[in-house]
Amino acid sequence: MRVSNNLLYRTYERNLEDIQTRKLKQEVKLTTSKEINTLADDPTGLVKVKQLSNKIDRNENYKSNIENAIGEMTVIGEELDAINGRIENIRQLAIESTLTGNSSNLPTLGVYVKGLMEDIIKDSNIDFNGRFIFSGTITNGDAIAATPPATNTQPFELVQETPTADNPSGFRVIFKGNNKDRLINKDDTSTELVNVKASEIFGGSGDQVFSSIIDLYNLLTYNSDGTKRTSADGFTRADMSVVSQIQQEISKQAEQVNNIAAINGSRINRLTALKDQIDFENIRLKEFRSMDEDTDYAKATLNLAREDNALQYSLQIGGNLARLSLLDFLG
Amino acid sequence: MSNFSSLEIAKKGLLANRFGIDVTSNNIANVNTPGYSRRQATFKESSPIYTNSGFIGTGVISEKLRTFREEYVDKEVRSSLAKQSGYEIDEQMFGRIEAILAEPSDNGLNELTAKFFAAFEALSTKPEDLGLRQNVLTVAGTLVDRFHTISEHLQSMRTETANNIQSNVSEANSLIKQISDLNRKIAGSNGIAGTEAQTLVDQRESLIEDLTKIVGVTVHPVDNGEINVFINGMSIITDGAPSELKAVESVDGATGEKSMQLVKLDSKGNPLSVILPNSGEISSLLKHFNTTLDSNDTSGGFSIFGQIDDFAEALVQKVNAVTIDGFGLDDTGALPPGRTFFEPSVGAVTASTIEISPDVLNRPRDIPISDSPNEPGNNTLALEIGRLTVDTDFLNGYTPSEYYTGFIGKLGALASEANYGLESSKLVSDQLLKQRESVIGVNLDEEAVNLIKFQRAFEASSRVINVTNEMLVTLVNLGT
Repeated sequence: MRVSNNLLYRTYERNLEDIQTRKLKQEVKLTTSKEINTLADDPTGLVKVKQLSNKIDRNENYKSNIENAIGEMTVIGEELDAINGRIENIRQLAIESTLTGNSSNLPTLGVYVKGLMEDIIKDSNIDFNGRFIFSGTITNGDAIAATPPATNTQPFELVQETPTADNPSGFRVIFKGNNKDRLINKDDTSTELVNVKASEIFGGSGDQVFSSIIDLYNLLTYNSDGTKRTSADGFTRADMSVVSQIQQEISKQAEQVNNIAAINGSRINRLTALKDQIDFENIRLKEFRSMDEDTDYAKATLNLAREDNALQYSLQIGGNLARLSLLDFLG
Repeated sequence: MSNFSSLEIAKKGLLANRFGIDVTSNNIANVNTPGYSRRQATFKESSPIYTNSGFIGTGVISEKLRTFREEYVDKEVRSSLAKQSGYEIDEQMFGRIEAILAEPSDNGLNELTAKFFAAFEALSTKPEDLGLRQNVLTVAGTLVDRFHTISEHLQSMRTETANNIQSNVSEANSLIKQISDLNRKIAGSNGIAGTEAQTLVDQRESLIEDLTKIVGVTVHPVDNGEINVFINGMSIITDGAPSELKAVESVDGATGEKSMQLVKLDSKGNPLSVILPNSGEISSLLKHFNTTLDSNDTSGGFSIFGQIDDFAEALVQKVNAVTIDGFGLDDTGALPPGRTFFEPSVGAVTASTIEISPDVLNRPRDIPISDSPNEPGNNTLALEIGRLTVDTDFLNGYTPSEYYTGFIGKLGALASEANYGLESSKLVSDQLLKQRESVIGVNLDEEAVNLIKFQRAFEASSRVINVTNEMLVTLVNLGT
């Protein structure tokens, strides 16, 4: 093939450009640590990377949801234990009140029962990060109106109403929350229940057990005619029968609380296992993503060294392009 | 034959070889001139005369100036240059669109949309938290800004493309006129010895190559040295007469779609016919103006602008469909207040008009994520919005990320195709140019040999003149 002067220069220029382009590509890969730096580098790989990234991010969201939920459910578990303990104590007091030796202590026992009930109410009004945990979706006082006889914006409140023959103390526990579920998204397709409802703990619409406890208090504190008991006023046979019935109701509710606490515990375990599973899945997803996304440093470094050498030699050869021709030797 | 005939023969030798040196010198001088094709002086023996001893030659004359340019190779070079410049435009366009979309990166629309849904996901764990509510508005604001930025830049790119088309058309018109002028001059000088035809042919070919890069042309030579030039079968130079081109923008009254066409004008400047170039810069620019960057494209082609607008519209529709039935923190009425989360600033929802609705802008407490009034812990609608990220019915049967990665993947495939096309067309062009250069290019060593050859022949002819002169002197001095 006939070689003209322009052909020499054009070929050299083109090859130099090619080497520099390839070298730049390797430099970009090394400095960004990414294999894919433009959409054209690997469109299929890029789509795969983005889909994996989306999945990883969603998993992180679910994991965060689960961690928040576990925190709240742990507090719920602790409070359920405390509530259960107090209900159990009340049940014990109910049993003790029927013992012969305690017939003169009934009013005192009544005071204990009221104190324990107030403790239960205090436990039930606990909040987790500013949210009431047993009041359904009424999670703060802003949504609770202190409508009389209520005097505060807590979900559970012991109020004093007009005494009646059936309720000589006039006490009533009102529940100002609701019994709705609170859910979180725990994966792409399902949700998880994270709260325990007042109706599950206390029965009825969230206040049933308190009626029983108040009945017990009334029985311990007042005679059947509505007058306050003295140490000389023991239980009648009818009273014993009522106490026994109340004790059974309270026992049944205590069992229910135990049950709910166990369910809550199992939910925590399940969510903890799910969180671990998400962590494991994300590790694997990140590995897969890295295979397409991240630069193979060894390969890129070798390629860069190779292109660098080629560039150096090309530049050296360039010096020979301005070589001698026959014209230099004509006299 | 006399002594004077020898002088005449030697003189012809001097003239011919001096001509040869001139041609060689011109080749050497133009070794770096782009588009220059080397010339070669060819000689032939001048007509012999009859003498008693038979026919005797009468010296040498320059027959013609030979050129090595081949129309076939030129045609292939033009075709590959046209394709190459089209791919170059494609590569630039897609590269700029990539930059506008900030892809691939962690700050693209896909990631911001995911963050938007994630903000609702976080809010669902604590719906009464004002900080998380404000975060939703902040993230939504960032997303809306991103839509606006993308839309502005794509629109600006489209305007720039239109300007590029106009300037390319102006340049093409100028080149067409220059080619037509050269056509006339070549036709006028064709066949007349010693004229500048070959120089003009080289210049014309250089202009044609510049023109073909702008708008792919085909050339048909005619007998008198002129050429007819066509763009995809439509003539633009015929019988030496140039046509003028114009890029005309039109708006579809029904859809509002703006499109641009290349038209040929008649002698009065009125549009005569539409030209559909199939290669060159203008072809590629028109494609991108009319399809890729056209938000109202109805051709069914790949419109990035249209896809972004559809994405924005789907986002607004889906989110608003949920929030319209929701209650905020302070809503106590039985019926939902009917708040939207997004709305268009004017007209239909597009990437440029999407805004956060005044129903919720700067009013985090009013973000309606509860499905019942007066329930601050109710997160039902926040869960639903969070789950839109995996809604397979978000747009055209895809989830948001599937839809977005789908068109990013398509954009990447087109960019890859443009890169590959550019690389392979560059290889082909390069090969053809090298092939042509090896035939028409100047080799200094070759010209040095020619220089020696013509110099020695010139010296020999001048020696003949010396000898003949001495013979004449001898004759003249005879008998003195």
